[in-house]
Amino acid sequence: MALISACSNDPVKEEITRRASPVDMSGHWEMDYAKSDNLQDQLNSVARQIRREAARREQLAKEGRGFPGGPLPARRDLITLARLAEIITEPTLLEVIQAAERIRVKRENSFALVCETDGSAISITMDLLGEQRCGWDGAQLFFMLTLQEGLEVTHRLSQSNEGDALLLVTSVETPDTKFPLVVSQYFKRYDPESLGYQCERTLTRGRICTTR
Amino acid sequence: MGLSTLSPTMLADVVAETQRHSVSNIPTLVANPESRDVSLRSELDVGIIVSSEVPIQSGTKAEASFRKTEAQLLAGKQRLVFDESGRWGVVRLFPEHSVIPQLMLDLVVRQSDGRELLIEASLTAVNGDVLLNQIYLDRSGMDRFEGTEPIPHVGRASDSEGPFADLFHRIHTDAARVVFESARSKTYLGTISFLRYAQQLVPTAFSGYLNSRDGEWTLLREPSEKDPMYARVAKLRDYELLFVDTIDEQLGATLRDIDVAYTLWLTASKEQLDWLERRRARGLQVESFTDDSAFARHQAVYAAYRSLKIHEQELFELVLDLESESRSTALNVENTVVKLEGTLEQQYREWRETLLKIIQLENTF
Repeated sequence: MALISACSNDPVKEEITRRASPVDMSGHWEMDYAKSDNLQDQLNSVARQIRREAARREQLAKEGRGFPGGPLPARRDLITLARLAEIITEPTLLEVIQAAERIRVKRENSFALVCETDGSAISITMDLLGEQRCGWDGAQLFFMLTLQEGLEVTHRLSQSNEGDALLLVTSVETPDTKFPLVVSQYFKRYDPESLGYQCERTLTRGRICTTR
Repeated sequence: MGLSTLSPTMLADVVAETQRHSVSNIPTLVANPESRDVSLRSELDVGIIVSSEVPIQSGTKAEASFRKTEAQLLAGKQRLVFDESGRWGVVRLFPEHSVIPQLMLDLVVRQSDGRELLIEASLTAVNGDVLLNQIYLDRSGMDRFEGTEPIPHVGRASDSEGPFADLFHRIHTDAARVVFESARSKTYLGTISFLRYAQQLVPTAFSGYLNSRDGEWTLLREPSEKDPMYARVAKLRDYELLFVDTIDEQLGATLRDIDVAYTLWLTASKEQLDWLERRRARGLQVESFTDDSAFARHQAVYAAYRSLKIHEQELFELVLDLESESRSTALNVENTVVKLEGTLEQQYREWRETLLKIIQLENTF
């Protein structure tokens, strides 16, 4: 169990993590559509949770008992959540570059998830627009992003024992929704050389692909 | 004890001390555009050193490396302004403070976020006179970014102005003004520079030629160029400048690669700061937004974060990749190739130690 405090005057969330057991996830990964979640299914799952909670509250109200918690999210809030999750989980290609104290998860058409940690502590970095906490929770690598307007995005990466599959679990939460939307994406290894073309993203010319 | 009871020498010391430590902590806000008229014509050589004291927000090594490289980029832009004016002797970037140039311009980057650039600049003559010590603040407007082409190379300042060009021009015009007012000749300062350099290598060299008191040097005697020690010191000084010029060339190539990404990062950073400010200004009206705007708000938050991160990471990774390349400098000195490894500062120190050994060896014989 590791407890971390940030250098701040604000109350600090304590993260409880298992002892770090970093695994080497280096390589190129492409999404395995067959195994990965369907966003609609996940949205339905959240909707069911909300209906169950609504039914429970209704029952408590009939019995004259109170219940904690604010109003449940409305349908529109769930749609917002789903649309956000769709954008956030859009990348289908990953490249993991891993060194002793730095791991970089490059994502197609998005920013990389970068963590500088030697495994002994959670790394906290603050930017203009948000805060990132990252580190190893056992053999899982996690990134917790807290952005403006209370938007929270968590990514957790773990690798199969055989090392041939990667699981990326993304959780998206807004202040308006009580239940985060969780999307699991499976990735399998691939050889970018075998694609027959190579793409790279440049700042001045956008994405450029060339054939071999 | 009042000033009137001091001897003339002590009074002069007090005045010099007061002038030396007279620092204005109120930043000079750079105009847009700044006047670039400089009436000075000087043959004085200028050395520029730079450091960064911009707080490392993320605490990551990547950002720390970037800030160090940014400082070198900015120093390069300042040097270009001096060079382009054609009103000085040789203008060089030095890895550390040096007594070789007659004037040393020390830049400290205090803040840089795309919207504001805050630099502290101090200009010191080799005799110890602090001619300028000022903090400069430049703010960029959108019009300063629009039409700014990505810089393919760090070339003429007039070709690739960048959003904070006025700050570098202001530092230049202020430096020119104070140098003009101080009216020190190149010969006088050049001799002091030579003697100070000699005494750094061999402390007993040219003993009695310089008077040093409270950080100020005064010339008492001039050395003879026929003195064998003079020739040795001059040769070693040339070797040191050879190193500085070689490093400058290497660094120039590196900085050219980075400058494009750096300019794009400046733009992205400014855009995000402006966006944050607009959101804060509208903060009280959030409840009046329609339902559709909830998604738009969150989507905008994520898009802003993603955009800034993409630009930042491209720049940081470029800096780290270039840093991790094997950095070595090879210098051909008297038919011997000397190879130096390590960071810029390490190589500079190693080179100076080599020069020290050379002169010690020559003194032995």
